[in-house]
Amino acid sequence: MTDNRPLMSKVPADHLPIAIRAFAPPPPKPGAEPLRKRGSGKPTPPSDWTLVFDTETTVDAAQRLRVGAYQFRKGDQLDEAGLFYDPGAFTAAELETLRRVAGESGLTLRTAAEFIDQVLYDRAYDLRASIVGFNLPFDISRLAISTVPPAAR
Amino acid sequence: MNNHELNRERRRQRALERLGTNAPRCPFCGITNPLVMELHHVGGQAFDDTLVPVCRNCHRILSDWQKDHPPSKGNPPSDPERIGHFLLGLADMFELLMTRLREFAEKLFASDKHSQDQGGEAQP
Repeated sequence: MTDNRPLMSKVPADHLPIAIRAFAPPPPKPGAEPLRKRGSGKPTPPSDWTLVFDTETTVDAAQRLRVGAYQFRKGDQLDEAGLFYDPGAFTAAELETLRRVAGESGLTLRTAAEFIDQVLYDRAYDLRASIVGFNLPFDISRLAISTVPPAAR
Repeated sequence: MNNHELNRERRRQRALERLGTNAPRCPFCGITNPLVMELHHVGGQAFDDTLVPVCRNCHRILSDWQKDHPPSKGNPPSDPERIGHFLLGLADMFELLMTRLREFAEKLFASDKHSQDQGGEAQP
């Protein structure tokens, strides 16, 4: 008899322990005043500023950032459009091409570090902008400044 | 956007975040600049957490009127005391609103009279 089950269901499963990390606020002390809420108690919605960006990466397993494109807008008005790049992922010739394309297209060219400091934090974060991207967790993680191994248990 | 504009916009956005809204408006005089607005405790800070954005001028008036409310009796205040102070604060706000409505009406009448004296027709 032919086994018509999907391939994955034929593979014996490995049973592994699952660890969950939770961040829970400590319970209030007995008799303590309840926390005062500001305004309606709801977070203020984002401002009318928007940062839209996308990244392109290497095609290997690391998927390291190479270049990205962004627009920073207030409502439907464009404030700045530009490109950012990881200097370590470009040859001198490629970087020269990138500079030429940015110059011809009127785009601001920044390194990834400059983009993070001057656009993502100084503008988008400080001005409470909406940050827009396609599969944003992937693109934001390409901008990670550093990583550390998890704490030993 | 240069650094000067960025710093100015940064302060404006901080003010909006502090106020808890992107479109603040003083309910009494209609001003919308978030830099001149504050959060007013309707029933007084000791009695109520309800906050409304108002301009600094109107806030000073309302806070002054709160000085005429009964002093606190217990710590923490009882629920009837909290509700009573909230209602007094609400009454103060209605009183200030009525004052402003009368001022606006008088300005409209004055504007209308001025237009008629000039031989024109007042615009609604």
